Amino acid sequence: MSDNRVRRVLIIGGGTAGWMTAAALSNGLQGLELDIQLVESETIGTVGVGESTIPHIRYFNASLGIDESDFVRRTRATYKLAIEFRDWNRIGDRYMHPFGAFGTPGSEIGFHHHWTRVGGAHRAGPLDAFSLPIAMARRNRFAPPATDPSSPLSTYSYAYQFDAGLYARYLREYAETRGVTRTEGRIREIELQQESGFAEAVILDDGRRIAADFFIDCSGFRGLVIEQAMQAGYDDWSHWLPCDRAIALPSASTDEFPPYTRATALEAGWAWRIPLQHRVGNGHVYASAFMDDSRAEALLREQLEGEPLAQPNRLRFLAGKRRQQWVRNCVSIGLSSGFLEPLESTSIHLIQAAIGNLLDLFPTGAWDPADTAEFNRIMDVEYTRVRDFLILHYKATSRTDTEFWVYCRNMDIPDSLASKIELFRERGIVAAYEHGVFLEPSWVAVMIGQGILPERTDPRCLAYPDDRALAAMAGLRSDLAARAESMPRHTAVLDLDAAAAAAAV
Amino acid sequence: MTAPRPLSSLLIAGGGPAGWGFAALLSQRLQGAAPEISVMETGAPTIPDIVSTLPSIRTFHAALGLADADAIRRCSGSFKLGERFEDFSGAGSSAFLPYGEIGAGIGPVRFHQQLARLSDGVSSPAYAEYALATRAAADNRFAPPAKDPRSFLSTLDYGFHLDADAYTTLLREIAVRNGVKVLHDEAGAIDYGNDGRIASIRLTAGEPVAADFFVDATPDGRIVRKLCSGGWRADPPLPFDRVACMRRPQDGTVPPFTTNRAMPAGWLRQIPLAGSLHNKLTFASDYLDDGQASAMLGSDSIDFADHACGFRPAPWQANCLAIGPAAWRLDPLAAADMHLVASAGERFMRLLPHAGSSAAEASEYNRLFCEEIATARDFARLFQRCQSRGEPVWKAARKTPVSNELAHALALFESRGRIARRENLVHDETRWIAAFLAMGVRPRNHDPQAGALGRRALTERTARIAEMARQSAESMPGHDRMLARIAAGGSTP
Repeated sequence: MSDNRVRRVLIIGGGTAGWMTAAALSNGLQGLELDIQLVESETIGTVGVGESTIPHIRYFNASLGIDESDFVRRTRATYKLAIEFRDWNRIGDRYMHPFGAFGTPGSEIGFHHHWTRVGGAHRAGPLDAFSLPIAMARRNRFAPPATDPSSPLSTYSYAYQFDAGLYARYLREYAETRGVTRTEGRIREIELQQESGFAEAVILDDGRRIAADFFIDCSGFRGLVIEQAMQAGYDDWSHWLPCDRAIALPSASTDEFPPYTRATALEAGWAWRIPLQHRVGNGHVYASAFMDDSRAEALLREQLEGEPLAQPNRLRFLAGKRRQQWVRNCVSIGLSSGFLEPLESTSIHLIQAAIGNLLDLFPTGAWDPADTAEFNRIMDVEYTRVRDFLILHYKATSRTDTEFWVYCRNMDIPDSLASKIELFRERGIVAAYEHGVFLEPSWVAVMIGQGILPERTDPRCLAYPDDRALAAMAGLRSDLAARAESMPRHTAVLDLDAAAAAAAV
Repeated sequence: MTAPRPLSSLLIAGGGPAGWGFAALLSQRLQGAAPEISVMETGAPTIPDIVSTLPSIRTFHAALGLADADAIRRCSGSFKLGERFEDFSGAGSSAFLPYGEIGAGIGPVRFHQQLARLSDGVSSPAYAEYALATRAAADNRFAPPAKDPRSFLSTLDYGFHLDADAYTTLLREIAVRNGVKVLHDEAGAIDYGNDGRIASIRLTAGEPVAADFFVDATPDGRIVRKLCSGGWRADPPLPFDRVACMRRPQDGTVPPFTTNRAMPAGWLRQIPLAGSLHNKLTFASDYLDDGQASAMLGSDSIDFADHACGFRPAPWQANCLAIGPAAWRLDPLAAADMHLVASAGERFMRLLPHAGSSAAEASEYNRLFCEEIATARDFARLFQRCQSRGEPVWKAARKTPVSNELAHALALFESRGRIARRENLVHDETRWIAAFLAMGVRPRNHDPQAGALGRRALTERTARIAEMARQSAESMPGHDRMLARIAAGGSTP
């Protein structure tokens, strides 16, 4: 083994990103016998916006060997089948982006082709009616999917809505059990080697010095190491995603626990509603160029369905991505690596993707630029594909009621997204890619939800005459409704009393 | 808005395995929504060639309802468990590139990383020996893989060696049975509509054949060439610029693999058929003239042709799609021609155009095609880039520029044995790993996640896999016996 092997890893910042990283490294890289430290300060708040997730989180938890019911209890989680979008295309519209495909599984021609050809919503009813997870979500039902792939009950997936602070605490326990040491302190300074520019140590406020071979920057927006010391640079995407502020404000739970997240478009941004077991997470993401802070807070308060439980928490950000997410011996994970608003619940997913790539590419010997290049290349693809998907929600709108929406309608968009929209509008096809988070059903849901209807559909649909197709759709629709109706209520699955008791221990 | 009209007619210019393969696939799969398909068997035959395929051919044949035994029997065929490389890493070197699985991963840790963990270095013979295909090929054995995924025999995969003319005839029969029409004539002048699209193609006698959509499967791309923006993208030329082909009758054992043997001025690719051996010498004309090549092959009846690789970055133009040699020319080491024909057919059906404009479909097709063809090109180029022979011509081959993607893939593999992430791969990750190792590329480090695997358990596990590969191979019948059974009218089990 070479001398320049990495032995000491320093994670800078706790929070969701820091503790997810600590947990995954302490588990996945056991063989390297690393000394993993995490430095964080209780005086620095965490953002914890990413309370709503996408199904990939289940694989992350599974890779750590985490028991699902324990996790759900401890993080006060609810199950999530979809995101509901309100008022995005037109005020009064709503549609859901479900975790599952529309129509019957396994058919070669996408359901939306048949649906469009027979006349769409006017003749067949809304696309939403042809998705089991949506039918479940609308009725506040939940059951885990079947494992038999031939069953219609296997065609959806699910994620969680959880308390990110509790999740971080949960993973901290996990990581500390596996040897990660936590240091309390604020970082005053980063020491770099003069010639190489590699990070060598951090100096804390009280003068303590922590040296390491490898630094993982989970310090949030500031990017303490990746930006302030390594000057990785930032690709500013705010001309496409102009929202730059958020207010978060939790409220008391209502009687129902919807198994979905809601995103309601407002005058210059949108509001989230994320139901947890013990509270409802609410927030308003808005563009300060189009709306002032007090108006933003007032609009958020109008959205609340229960009593506010805290003072509003205000955040500022700039949509974009760190130009190089791995520079020399520093990798950025979480908000230090870029910011994409939580409209599609991707914050935790991007953390998870970075961790997965870091595990694969973790340096075991001499520094190799190919490893760094691969990490940066993969993360570029992840970020730009999420970015394009988010921009779609803003660009494809008919709203003209405020300056903000007029700006979004008329803004230039990346070529990569323009060609995706054109392909769908012209021919109902989702541009194929293999890596990156959102697959065909997601694009179909949002394209159609935002009012982009294909002008031409798959000519193979002609093999199914209109009346036969319509009859089949009517049958499918009532079948899905009946299946959803027969499932347990989400609250019953959560078993809230037991969960509360467990949390109180 | 009037409803867009579906395609009512499709004219394929040029037969060959590409044109007929495409026609057979579409006519089989578009039943109920199929346009009327005609094939204009045009163009002089190319040099007698042979089809040496990847395992993906099995999916293509399944879509056509073509049984292995029929393909083998009709095309003097043999099974192909992989490719052997001799003398690429200097005289006397030999490596096998098997199809199917090699060993077995543990969670995120690939099998070659487990071997690296055990030996702090992994070499190709060791790696490939854990594949059933390698063991079976070494003994000239063959049996189709087991369907039960718990059986080690299910880890096998295979392609075919087929006589190209006979294979074309077989594909034509399937297409004609599905209602495809045959026009025996040459493609002449092209008539254009007002919109820049092709309206019809004239036959020799001047009679126009109209269609909504045209497929250019001619050997020289004579249809698409006239429409084209974007042109042809030539690969940086290797010194190997000429091919010599000949087939020699051969009795005796038919090996279930293709062999590539590096020589001072080129390499010889030998593809075994039942009763004959097809030889294809790809060589550098600066170092070897045609006469010397003839002498090397020991025959006077040799077909020579110039050899250059490249592809058409926009093979779908207006209402014309180029496939086969009209759209790509790959190094034979890619073995990807039929894979790409099938892939073109599947992609075309997914994007199936209407009779009017299809600009959006075309740009999506072309984008995916470019990604896919580049992975096949780079895979073939890997061998030229990573071989370690000492002759000037091989040194020059090593220095010929490669794509940024291949340069990165090589750097990353050298660093830690990892295959760079890429989409639309023609050759799967296992094959890329095996190819790098077969050419003697040795990663400096291994997968950090392999470190957590206990050495003793891992040693036992890999030994068990090696033993299963050995035993399973021994339980398989001889390839010759399998071919004899098929020739006698039997089917594969």
